[in-house]
This record gives sequence, C-alpha cells and structure tokens, in this order.
Amino acid sequence: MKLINTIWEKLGSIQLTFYLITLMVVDLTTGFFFLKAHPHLFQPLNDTGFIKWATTYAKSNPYESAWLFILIFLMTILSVNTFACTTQRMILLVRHHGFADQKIRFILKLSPHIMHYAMLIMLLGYLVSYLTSQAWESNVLLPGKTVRLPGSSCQVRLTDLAIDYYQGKRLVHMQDRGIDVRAALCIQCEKGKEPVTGILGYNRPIGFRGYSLHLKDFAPKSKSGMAIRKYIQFTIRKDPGTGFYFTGMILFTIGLLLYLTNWLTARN
Amino acid sequence: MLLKRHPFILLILLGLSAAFGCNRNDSDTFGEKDISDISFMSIGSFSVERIADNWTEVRDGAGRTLVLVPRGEKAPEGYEPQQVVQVPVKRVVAYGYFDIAILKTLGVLEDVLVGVTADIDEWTIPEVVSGMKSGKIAFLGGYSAIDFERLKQQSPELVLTWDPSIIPMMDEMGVACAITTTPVAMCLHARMRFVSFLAPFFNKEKKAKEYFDRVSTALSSIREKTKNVAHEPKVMWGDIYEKRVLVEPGNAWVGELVGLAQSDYQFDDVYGKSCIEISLERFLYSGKDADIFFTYRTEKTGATSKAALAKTNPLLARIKPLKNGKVFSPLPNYVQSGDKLDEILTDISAIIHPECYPGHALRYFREVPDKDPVTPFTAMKRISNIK
Repeated sequence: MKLINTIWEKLGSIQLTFYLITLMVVDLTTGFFFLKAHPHLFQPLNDTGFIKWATTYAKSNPYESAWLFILIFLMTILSVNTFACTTQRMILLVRHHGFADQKIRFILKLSPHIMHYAMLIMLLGYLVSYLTSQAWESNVLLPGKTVRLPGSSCQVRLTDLAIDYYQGKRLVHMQDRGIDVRAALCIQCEKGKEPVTGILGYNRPIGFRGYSLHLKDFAPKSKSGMAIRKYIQFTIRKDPGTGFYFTGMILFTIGLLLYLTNWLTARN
Repeated sequence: MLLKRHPFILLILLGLSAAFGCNRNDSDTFGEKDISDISFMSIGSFSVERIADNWTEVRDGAGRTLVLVPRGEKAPEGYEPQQVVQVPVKRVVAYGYFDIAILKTLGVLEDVLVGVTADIDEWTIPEVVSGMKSGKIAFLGGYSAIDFERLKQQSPELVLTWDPSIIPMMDEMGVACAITTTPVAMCLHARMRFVSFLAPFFNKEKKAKEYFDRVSTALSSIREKTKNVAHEPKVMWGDIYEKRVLVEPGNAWVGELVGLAQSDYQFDDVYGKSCIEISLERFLYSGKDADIFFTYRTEKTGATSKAALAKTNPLLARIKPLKNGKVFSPLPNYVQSGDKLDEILTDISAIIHPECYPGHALRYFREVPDKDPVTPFTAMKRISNIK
C-alpha cells in the first residue's frame, strides 16, 4: 500500500511535469525538422488512421517517425501526471473545505482542475480520433452529380456552386482569382423524405449523422487561364472523437470562466 | 556533474543531435532497396502496399485508394466496385506525357495505350504516333473537351489523369481512375520512384526496378562529377506570363537536382505545387544575380532568342541571365521523355557545370541565342521598318 502511495505521489509531482515538458519541447523541435523534411510521410496520418499509418509509413521510415512515437509516450505520461496531480489536489480540496459553508468559493477553487480534466478529455478525443476515425479522401462532385456517403444509402448532390472572384484593384496578382466558394449540397437518404441541405465552404464543414464533409479543393480557381470544369473536391470523415473535443472545450471554457471569476473576486 | 544532476540536459543534447544530424548518406535517401521485397512503399503522395499475396492497395496522388486484384480473382471486402482494378490492366487512357513515358519504360505502351488527349502532331514518341496512325490509339479531344462517347468506345479499364473532374463520369462508366499528379510538386525521389506506383497495374515491378537503378546511377554520376566544382552557379526555373509569374518550387525535383549538382537554386525557399505562382517582385529579385535561367517556353512558344523573350515581356529583360547569363529552353521532346529521366538529369547537370561535361551534346534543351538569326524574311521586314 505504501509503495502504491509513493508511486501515486511521484506520478503527480510537479518535477515530473517539468522534465516531461522539457523533453516534449526537445522532441517537438526534432519533429519540426522531420515534418519539414518529409511532409509526404506525415500527411497520410490525417486520413489513414494511426494504426494503419504506424504499420505502413512509420514502419518503413522508423528513423523519421520515431519522434512521434516518443511524443505519444511522453504525452501519455504527461496525461497520467496531470490526472494524478489534479486528483491529488482535488482530494485535498474536498478534505479541507466543507461543502456546507463556502460552496461558491469551493467551486471557484476547482477551476484549474476543471481545466486540467478538460485537457485530458480533449487528449482522449485525439486518441479516439487517431484510433477509430475513418476518412474518404478526394470525393469529387460536379453540379447536379451525386456521391454516396460510404457505408450508408445517403446520396450527396451538388445543387449549386458559387465562386467569388477577386475584383479589387489593390492586389493585381489576385485579379479574377477565386477567393471564396460556397457549394450548396443536398443530402437525401430515403426517397420521398425531406432532404437535408447545407452550404459547404472552407472552414465551413457540413455535419450529418456522424459524418462530416470538408471542402478540400474547387475549380475553376481563376476566370482566365486553363478551361476547367466546375467541381468541388471534398473529404468525408466519420470521427467519434469530435464529441470528446467539444465536451473538453466546453468544460475548459467553464473552468476558464470560473478561474477568471475567482481571480476577480480575489482582486476585489 | 551538471549532466548527472540534470539528466534532461543530456536528453536535450541527444534530441538536438538527432534533429540536426539527420543528413544520412544519399543511397539511403533514395531508398535503394529491392522493391519486390518491400510490402509497403511511399512515393511522395503515392503509396503501394501489398495487403495480401495477390492483392495490392495503391494510394493515388489525390489520396484515393485503389485495390489491384489479379484477373478473375475475387476482390477483398470493403472496397467500392470503382476502386477495384483487374491486373494486369489491358487498356489505358492517359492524359499526362510523363505517365505515357512511364508506360513506355514499363514496356507496355504499345499494348495498353488506347486514348490520349493530344493530337498526333504534338507527339514525339514514335509508338504513340504509329498507334494513332493505325487507329489503335484515339485522340479523345483536349483536356477541357474530352469526348466521353469516344472514350467509352475505346473501352479503357484504367484512366490515368491529372483532372479530378472526370472522376464522376468514370465512376458512371465503371472505369477505374487514378490521379497521377499531386497537390505538392513531386520531389526527385518521387519522380524517380513514380514508375513503382504504375508498375503493379501491369505486373512490371522488375522493369520499374531497372528504371530506378538506371536513374540512380545517373544521379550518383552527377554527384561524383560535380562534387569538386569551384563555382556554384545560381539557377532559376520559370517564366513571366501575361498575367502571372510561374516557377518551379524548391521542393520540386528540378530544385532538388540543382542543389545536388552543387549549384544554388534561387527558389529553394518556395514550397508548393509544380508551376507555382509567385510575385513578380520575387522573381525579379531572384533574377538579379542568377547565372542560368530555364524558361518554360519552347522555341514554338516564343523562346527563339533572348531578344524575343525580352520583347514578349520587357520586365523579363531585367533579369541577369537575359543580360549577360545563359538562358535554356526545353526542346519539344523534353516533356515526353520521362522514360529517359537519367539523360534529362545529366543534361541539366551539364548545363549547370559544362566544365564537368566536356563535349556533352544537349538532347533535351537548347541554349537560347542572344538574337534571332537574320533570315531573308526578317531582313526584309527590318528594311521595310527603316523605310
């Protein structure tokens, strides 16, 4: 029991946090150079999933990808360290503050720990994403054409494609170049039922029954130059990790607001 | 003592030495392993993975997955019908010159090519010309006006293209489609290894290895010949057009080769797709002290002389190679000679360091003269202008 307590205390020590963060800085600096030198090696991580990537790209390039595995190892220990450290503080707080007399003050004091737990939930989300998410790359849609959502009977149709071309005078090289795109999509799963519609654009994905659609490319990008058909290229993703990110983000925001309130209260 | 008290300092030093000391020898960089022994291979944005004894999964330039299955055998589960390609492929439509040159490298061009997107007078590959004359290879129309009815008549099993917009039509026709270009320019390694992406479609892995070995040997020879050069010329590759300035980025095979041949590529810091657009100011700044300029233009498209180039775009006249440097333009056979990549690389190296290649005759580039030669027609024109 004593050994377990010692391990538990060591796992939550701030010294361990310091060492881990220092090592992570070194590892990430190393990773920066490898990422820059071998972008093609790491780009497929976005759509193949971590396990597939690890058994293919990483396995055939162990020297270039080692930093990522070291980072995952360090992150795992940091997560355990954060969990142990935060839980130890939480236990202390609960022991020394009664719920009855200073409820609000007690809740405010929880704020940093809420943020830490939120961080852990977000990290868990990343883990879930890397391990379980699926991506279908480069789906192409021309106006009026359809694509089937993989693993479902739903059809995605491009009903309209509006491209805004730069018409200003300030940036001469941007003249007549596409600067924004709005693709009107219609998703229909069963005939006779009302279809779901949405506008797809850059930084404007469409979410539908656990799938998300992300714009990757469009054409034509310029009014002049090569004559190219109008089309959009998009990625379909199914990512169970997103629920964790959003939960983590909401929790983090709550923690941050509580922290701010606590800080303002203490100042006044 | 310090390291004993603070072991993390040692780890920092180890990490930094790994990051900065990562220049491995060149043979390793270009992965000289026997490709038939490899179960997975990444080739820039492309990849080839043997997922079972008889199934190969490939990832094309757009990140789409195709599974190659021997003819008559069952495809693995989990793939859409349009992702399954029966190999060896017997009928191919190809858009790109480089793809067609690689088919030639694999020794299958005459057997499999059934459609192209350039007319007969644009071809310098004899096999394509004869195929078009005999009617086996059809001209399907320009890339923006493909005759899909004609394409269907040719019954291709595979379309190799750079244009993703045809994918929905190909899916409807039940024809597999592979995108052979990438959003980011192919590096030298990917350019040399691209043959290994196409080889499994035709069961020609051995031919792919022969090609790769040949190009690797040429590259080693370039390194050897240029390793002791005294002067490192500054090189730029691109052109100024009416509305835009296009160059080859530093990550493209051209930029990498220039660096390997002991010279200084002026757009080394530019990253992105091949023929990337940059600002005019950046182009002119790099051109200020460049020694050699490779233009995209051929003689047919205006690179007849430095004077003609300057006349087409007066701003171009400001760069040093046009004033007192060297300008080179590709010959018509350059874009269609991907099967002779070793010779092209040697030509470029010989242009950069002529002192290392005495007596070398260029086969894919020509040096652009200062002025157009005087012909009876131009002389008459000048006289009439004076009058």
